[in-house]
Amino acid sequence: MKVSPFRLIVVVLLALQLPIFFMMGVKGLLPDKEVVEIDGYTPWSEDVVAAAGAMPVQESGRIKPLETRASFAMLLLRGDRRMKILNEEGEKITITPVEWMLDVFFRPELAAQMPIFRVDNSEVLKSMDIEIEGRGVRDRYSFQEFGPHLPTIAERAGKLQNLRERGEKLTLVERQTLELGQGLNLYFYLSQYFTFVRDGVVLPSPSGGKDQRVSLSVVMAGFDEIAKVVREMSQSTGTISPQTEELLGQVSSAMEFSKFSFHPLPPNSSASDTWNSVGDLIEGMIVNNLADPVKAVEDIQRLEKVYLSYEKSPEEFAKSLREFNIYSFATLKPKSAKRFKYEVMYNRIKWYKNALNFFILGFLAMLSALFFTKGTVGKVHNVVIWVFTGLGLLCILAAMAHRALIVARPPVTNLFETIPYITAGMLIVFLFIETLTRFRVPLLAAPAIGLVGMVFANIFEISSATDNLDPLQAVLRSNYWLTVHVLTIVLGYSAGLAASVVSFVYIFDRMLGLQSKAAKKRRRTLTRITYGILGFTLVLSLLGTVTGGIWANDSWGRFWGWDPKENGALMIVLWTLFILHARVGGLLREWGIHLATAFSAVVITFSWFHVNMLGTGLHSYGFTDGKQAIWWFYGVVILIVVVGMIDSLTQRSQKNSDQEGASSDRKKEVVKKEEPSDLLIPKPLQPATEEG
Amino acid sequence: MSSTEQSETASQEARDFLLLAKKAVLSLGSLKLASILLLLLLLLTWFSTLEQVVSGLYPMLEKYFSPKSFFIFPEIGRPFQEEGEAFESIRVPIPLPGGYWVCVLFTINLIIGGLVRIKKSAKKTGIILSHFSIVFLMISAAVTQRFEKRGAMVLYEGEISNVATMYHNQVIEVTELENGKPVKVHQIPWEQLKKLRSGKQKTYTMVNLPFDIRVDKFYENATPLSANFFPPSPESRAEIRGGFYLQEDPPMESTELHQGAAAVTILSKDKKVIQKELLAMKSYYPASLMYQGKTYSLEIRKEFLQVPFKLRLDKFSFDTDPGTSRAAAFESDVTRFGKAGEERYEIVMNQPLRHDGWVFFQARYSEEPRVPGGQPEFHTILEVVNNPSDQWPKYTLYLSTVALIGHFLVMLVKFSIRSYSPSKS
Repeated sequence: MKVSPFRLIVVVLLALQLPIFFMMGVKGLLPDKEVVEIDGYTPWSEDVVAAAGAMPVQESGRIKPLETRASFAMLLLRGDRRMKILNEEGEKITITPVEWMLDVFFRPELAAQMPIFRVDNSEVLKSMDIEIEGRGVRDRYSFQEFGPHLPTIAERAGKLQNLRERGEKLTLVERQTLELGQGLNLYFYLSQYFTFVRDGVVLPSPSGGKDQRVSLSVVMAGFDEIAKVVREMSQSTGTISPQTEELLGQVSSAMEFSKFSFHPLPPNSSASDTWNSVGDLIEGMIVNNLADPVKAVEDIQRLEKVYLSYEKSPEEFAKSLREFNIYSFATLKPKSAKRFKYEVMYNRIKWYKNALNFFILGFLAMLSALFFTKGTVGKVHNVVIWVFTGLGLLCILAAMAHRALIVARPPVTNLFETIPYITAGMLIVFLFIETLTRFRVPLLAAPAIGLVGMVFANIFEISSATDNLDPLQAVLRSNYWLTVHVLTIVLGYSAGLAASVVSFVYIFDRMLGLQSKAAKKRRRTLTRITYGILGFTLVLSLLGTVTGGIWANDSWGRFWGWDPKENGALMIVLWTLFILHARVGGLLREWGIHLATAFSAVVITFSWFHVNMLGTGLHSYGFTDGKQAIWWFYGVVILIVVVGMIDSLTQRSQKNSDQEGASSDRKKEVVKKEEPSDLLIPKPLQPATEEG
Repeated sequence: MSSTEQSETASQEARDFLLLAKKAVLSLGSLKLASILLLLLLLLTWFSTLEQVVSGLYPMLEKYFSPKSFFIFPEIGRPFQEEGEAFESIRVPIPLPGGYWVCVLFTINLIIGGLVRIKKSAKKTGIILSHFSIVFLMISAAVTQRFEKRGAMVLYEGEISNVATMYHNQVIEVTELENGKPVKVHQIPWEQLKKLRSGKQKTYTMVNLPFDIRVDKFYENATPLSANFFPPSPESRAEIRGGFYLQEDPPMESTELHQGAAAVTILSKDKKVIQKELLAMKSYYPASLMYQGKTYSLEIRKEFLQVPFKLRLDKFSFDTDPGTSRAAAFESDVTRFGKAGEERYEIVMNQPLRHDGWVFFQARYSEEPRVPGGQPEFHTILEVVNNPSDQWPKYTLYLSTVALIGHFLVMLVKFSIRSYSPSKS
């Protein structure tokens, strides 16, 4: 039977909604077409980049490699982990996060020319009367371009920060303005960090002769003496000399510039686990609260040495960085040292990037497989899809295991981590069904799901731009419950989404209007698969919801608090129960089951993401942007479901009129045969006959 | 018609009636009704989630799940609303049945359809057990709603207490004093007070008090303001008493933060006005009254929850993640004083103290002075809960886990055996 062109067009248009929605997200991931030219730029040597990337630093409560720190700083400011520039010889150079951070620290004059600040909405600049010519609505700017406007932006961001601290809600433009201000602030302090080595301390000559320039560590080594002199002077004369005042001013400004955003120096005493910045140590010496001031001076000297070696040669610089790493790494406790090594390895392997690449290859093989369905070529295609999808899945599982080793907690603890986990869950479901049925549809869907999942993970990581391995809130620190509850409930999301995908395939297939035996058989199999996955969804969602309640009862003293996240989980349970009961109760038939299961995607998205954006409840932490994308997604799903409903009604009335026509010619018994009774009360997991 | 015929007709009518009644009861357990109720519960849960953004959790619960709500119209935030814009809500013109009654009907449906009427067979064991566990869960929810008591106990190091403050319930308390010390306490309970939120006025007679109290106005959340510094607007028609008047504050999203206030009139037994007072939780001091040679203090406050044993905070400690101010863990080391002597416990996040039906959770901590004007001190805030069905959901979980996983595995094996392969056919 031929497909009517009208139906084909409608199905193609509807099915296109999903890739269009997907491409809207991918657009944000694509690299800049525009490449900035920076004269005099020379790439860092591989040795330097490797050594710098493996430097332990403390940030957000944990020790991490500088590569991780640089990576999320670059994501936060630029929304990308890559940057391409042209040097004066026309050479195109790709800059990684570590290279960018090295530039910011050691070559701030070059880093200032790089387009590092992403402004998503030009209204942000307009709101502060800042005009930079030739820029689009969404564009990237360099620190140099913002230079003249820094006071304006800082003032505005300060006001907005005050408003936020007072609990007032900010508009989108205000929020973006504040983020820009915070980004510029971070950049400024990073770029000024090594000023204490670049400028040193200039000791004014008391006799009016030539001033002497010494390193900060030399001054700090004698700081006790300086403090004593200052005390004596102020006690005897009530004032201090201009030279001493000048000296103290320089120390104070070195402290200010090197205090924030970079903490590479190990704790000053074995009793502490807080790492220091140079500014922290200077401040500690000034207020005299350091356990070991001598060690503090030595630590400052070590960083000075690193900077000075940069000025000598790349080899010296790499060597000096390695020596610094050996020193600070030796101060780590054995467990922390092991985890740190795991993280360096994790950054090097880039599991998720590899997974994405495998899924891209698998997806291409899948596209080709659509045209080669039979014979050896078809089988070869199947094998290729299996291999690439399997490798992608293995990469995701390896990444999750690797991350669990780094942070010593189960692999799913924040929204970002749910994305690869759900992707892996869906893939396992599809590949398992393919193994059981050799139906091919799950196999063809698998690389597409893997691709969408990993792209989504990427988009999410960019938009949240926070290190997703950072420590959790106190209440979430229970490995037992994170395993029992979170892994179960999120696997429930995974199964529910897998069922939705199968139902979308069914809806598109059914809308083509094919009535051949093979088509009907194919659709019956899709129904059985959907029913099976729905059962799986129910088990996991129900157990996940109840375990969540029990955890809440141990943490907050109540089993159920109508928290949005709890409600979301309950909604999945209720909706799945509704579909299963309505099927057995005869309220939903085959079309209805698939339309309802397709709608599950909306219910699950609400529970998975939307409730985190409501800004209320105890689970309201993490990512809260991207509301519009969610509304778009709801729109696309509902459009497909509604068109499917209309088509189901059309097909039913068509069938009824056909049957009326046929009934006048046929005997009653024949009609009875065509109206199978098991449609009303179908047995679970048994092939149901198609009905409108 | 003969008497035999008459009695036959009567017994036929009785049989018809019984048959009809049986049909009606059985239809309460039908799958169609179950599906409709599940759909309604889904809608109620969905809208209640969205509505708590608009009105806060507690008012939403009262609207959606109170036995008094038979029908509700959901109110949700307008979609596509930007954070920071003036918040707009919209009323959804779809009437939904009250959640309490849907839950009641759902439980009945589950008992009749899922336990009584369902075909009993080995194949259905998993389904029947999971139905039973859900019924048990619903019963546990009903017990919680009816009997649970909850409050917060604030303890500084070295302090002993057996009192927690309830989150929502407010009471007006009259205390008889002798030599400045309380002798007897009389209360207008929350069950009475909350009826006055609509603006009603009511006189309360207390048997052991020589006077009556008329509550002229009660606000769940209000501030006493000085009429000199902040004169009331004429349209507010606020009554000024002792230079102050009460200004009602808008409801807060976290209603446990509400601080009530009341305008009260003390009446003699022959209904003559003795004294007029404003009571407010935001006032530092209670009002006082001298009557018939006795001294009384009057105040409005949150209701206390009396715990049947005492607890002493021996030590409170908390850790932050290194280099940050983010709390990593906090712990209260306490001693419980019971009939059998003293027992020591550590209360930490996710590890509460359970004793004799009472549960103490490490809720949060604060840094405030112990007495006004003192040095700020870290202290613990324990959530205190008394709930007879505290552990019932756990039993439900065990049962439903075994039942559902068992059922699902059986189905999966069947599916695998009968699996259909187009290539094979």
